[in-house]
Amino acid sequence: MRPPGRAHVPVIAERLLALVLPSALREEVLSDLADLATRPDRKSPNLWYWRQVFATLWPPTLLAMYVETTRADAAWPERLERGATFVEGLLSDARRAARSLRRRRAYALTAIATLAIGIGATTAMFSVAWGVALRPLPYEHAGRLFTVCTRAVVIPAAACVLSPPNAADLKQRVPEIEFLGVGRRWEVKVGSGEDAESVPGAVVTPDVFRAFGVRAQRGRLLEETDLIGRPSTVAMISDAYWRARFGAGDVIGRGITLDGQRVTIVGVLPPGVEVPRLEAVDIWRPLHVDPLDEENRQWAGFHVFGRVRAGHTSASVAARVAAVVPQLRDEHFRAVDGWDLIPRSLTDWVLGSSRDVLVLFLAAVGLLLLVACANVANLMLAQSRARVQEWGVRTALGASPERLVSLQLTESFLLAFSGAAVGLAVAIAGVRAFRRFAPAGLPRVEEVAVSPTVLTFTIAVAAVTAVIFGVAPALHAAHVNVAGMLRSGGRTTTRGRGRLSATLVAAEIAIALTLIVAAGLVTRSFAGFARWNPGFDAGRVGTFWMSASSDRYDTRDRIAQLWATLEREIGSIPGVEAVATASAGPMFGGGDGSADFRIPGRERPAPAAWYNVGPGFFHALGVPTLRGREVEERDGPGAPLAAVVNETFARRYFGPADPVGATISSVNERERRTLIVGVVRDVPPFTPGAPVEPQIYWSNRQEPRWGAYFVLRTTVRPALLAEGVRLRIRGVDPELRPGAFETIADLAQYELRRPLFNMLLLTAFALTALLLAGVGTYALLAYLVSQRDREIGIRLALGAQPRQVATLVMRDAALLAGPGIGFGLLGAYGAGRSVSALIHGVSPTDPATFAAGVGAIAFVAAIACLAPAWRAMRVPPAVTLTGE
Amino acid sequence: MAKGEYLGEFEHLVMLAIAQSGEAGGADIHHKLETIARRDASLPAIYVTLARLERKGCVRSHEAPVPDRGGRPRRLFSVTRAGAAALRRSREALERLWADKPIEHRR
Repeated sequence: MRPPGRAHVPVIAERLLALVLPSALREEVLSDLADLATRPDRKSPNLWYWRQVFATLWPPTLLAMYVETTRADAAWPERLERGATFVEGLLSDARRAARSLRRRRAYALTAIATLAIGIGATTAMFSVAWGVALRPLPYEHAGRLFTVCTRAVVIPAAACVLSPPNAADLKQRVPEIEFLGVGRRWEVKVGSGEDAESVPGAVVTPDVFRAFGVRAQRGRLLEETDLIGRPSTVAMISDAYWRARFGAGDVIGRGITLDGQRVTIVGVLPPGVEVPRLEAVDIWRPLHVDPLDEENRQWAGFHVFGRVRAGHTSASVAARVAAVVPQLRDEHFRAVDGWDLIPRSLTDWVLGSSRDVLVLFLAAVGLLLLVACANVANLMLAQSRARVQEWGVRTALGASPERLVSLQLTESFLLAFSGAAVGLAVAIAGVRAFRRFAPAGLPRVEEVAVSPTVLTFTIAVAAVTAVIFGVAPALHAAHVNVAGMLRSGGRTTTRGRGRLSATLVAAEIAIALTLIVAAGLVTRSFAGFARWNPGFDAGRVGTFWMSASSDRYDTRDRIAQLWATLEREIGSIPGVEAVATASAGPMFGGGDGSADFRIPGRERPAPAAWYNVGPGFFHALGVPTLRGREVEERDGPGAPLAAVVNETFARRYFGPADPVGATISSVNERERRTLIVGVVRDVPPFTPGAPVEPQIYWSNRQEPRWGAYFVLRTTVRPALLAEGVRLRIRGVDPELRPGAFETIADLAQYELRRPLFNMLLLTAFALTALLLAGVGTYALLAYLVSQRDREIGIRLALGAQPRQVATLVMRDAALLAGPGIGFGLLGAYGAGRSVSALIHGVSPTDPATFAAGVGAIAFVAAIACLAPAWRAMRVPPAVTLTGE
Repeated sequence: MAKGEYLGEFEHLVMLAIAQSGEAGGADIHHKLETIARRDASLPAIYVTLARLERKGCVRSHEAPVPDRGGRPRRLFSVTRAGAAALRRSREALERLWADKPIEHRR
């Protein structure tokens, strides 16, 4: 009985409180709360009461409550005993539940396996999401760190770089910037003569360390006085290098030879210093050029590491940086098309879009976990229906509903934590697999692990899971109708017995459909990527990047000459069919930029992306020239500017007319008139569904740059020629260092890894959810048939055809699947939206994918009802007689 | 005692709420905190604090019969001499600190 005066507080809330409050406080707190809730000035008593309940459920409060009441002085021994009794009670409940589960081994194992899949997948995915994207970057003031990326035609879109003078100007003009350092990799040779070894190094300005809040472990950091324009004579070393090379001995003040020059070690960095893009650097030297020297204004080869002053965030300073950009553009970059500076938070730069994708996967795996929960809840419901008799007896013998609920919840927790334990093994295996197969370019993959944070997460997930799947059966247990049970001999004792289960199964079907459609969309998108056909034999075209020093090749003529010489040298290697250079091409190089062109006879400007290519580029690639000719050696310095356009350019801007012979000019630079000498076939973009852009290629003999991609078409496997190519290059200039040698097919394969990974992951989740939903449907149908065997027996005895009985079961299945599919389609619509960033060439509402998803669900539902229908058809009519 | 001779903020508030009425039950304290200090604390948290204060010897309690609660007795708390001293000490410490460096000057 509830005491008078408490009639108007929420019953469930009060029960819940009574359950968790220590007995010493229970009465006191409950009657006080009732008093407080019913004060005349209380605006919404129910809401307030629930808030009190939730505040009480906050674990630290709960713990403190038990600790304090147990420690309370007067009744200390008695309370301790009571506490012990409480724990004892819990343990005895757990033992009882374990015993009972051991008797129902098949059920327990099924539930644990289902939960292990759900919790394991969730934990694995959380490990990845946490390790890669959710965990803050390991820097002090991570929220105040930022970088700045230069946008300009000569800089690949993916690179985020800046020149030292631009960095210096930014720092000077934006007072909110506290530190702004620049740095880049700069490999050094340590030692001299034969023993010299290459060591990963970097040149940086002192602000890099200050931005990250790094302090020297020994000695000092680099300082401004180290770098004013003179050759540096000092260096810092990493902790790892200090230990490996100097045995962690005294090194400050010691001299070493770097690139043939004696320098002094002035400091040792602490362990664990990881500067993004400068990972694993062992030797840190001061920037060897004057960062203020105008000479270096265009030298955007540096990464930038900045920190804004306390009280600001990287986002709030972005606007200030943006305001300085036009000034810098006016002062130095008027001639550079589309020059811009983009500030980005360091987190954004390092983690990029990985975070959104991982959060999406985490949501998907959460759905999978829900399906697992629904399945286990249904298993438990079926169990509790079977145990109704046991509970009836317990109730009749005086067990309170709370006691039954607590027993049932103990069982849920036991199952959930057993599932979590097995799931943890699943997760560890999953994380291992992930680290092996993760797509390249995903940051921080090596830091993904089942860490203490992940363990905490798993425990929390297990607890929440236990509540989610345990609540329905527990409430069921609380409503056992003893009298009804006694009357009916344990057959029909609870109302709406199948309805709850049916709702759960329909929910499973809906979630499974949602995941299936999401996976289907990503799969179709992947198929689009995999079908990419550039129109030439990508496996026979090799490419590598190489840059030349602007000190040694200081004029345009000289650099153009260098490319010509190298093309000739490489072209003479046996096995090389054709060779050419370009600023970018299919799968390599970034978009150079685009410009608006003026085309004779056309009013509006014609935008097009532009590239620089050398003579014979399209021939080397294997892309046919449709009209005119391609860029040739004669389109060199002094000759009229020549360009080749692609089919789309010709079609869009010239229609049926022949563009060859037309003269076009850039809208911004009218005096630069370019003659179109040819039209080449379009190369379809790698991204499925992406339109081909109008492209214009001009001669890199007329617009040479200090870096180029070499393209080689070969008669043998391109990799076989890599060493020969390297030797020829060294023969021309020993200081040139070609980059990695890869075929276009390799590069495409490499690009496929991310869509492939997305597809595999989502498909794995979706298939698991589908399997679980199928099992859930089967279990429920089988149960319903077993409940109705007498009715079916009567029908058969009265002359019903087995086929009609089977139809009954199928109708049940349809009743489950119908609403499930309905809600699933809504979910799928949302899922399509969510994955839209991952899919290309497929609409997020692609009807074929939706239809296939529904088909898959219907198929699984049909399979799930086969066995129950078969069983129903074979119910012997005699059950009607033996039933009682 | 971990916190030594000084009171935590919440302890401070709870004791002041008791001291104001001389003797107070959990509900009275909650009401005072809610209306005067504008703190919607959870009642169990108040009881936890009271238990701790009682253990420290800062408050004492006795059970008083109350007619309107079905005859159920109700626990009333009052501040002990040691508790009053602790309150004063905390207040003086706070006042000294406030007098030295008022927050306004730093803005």
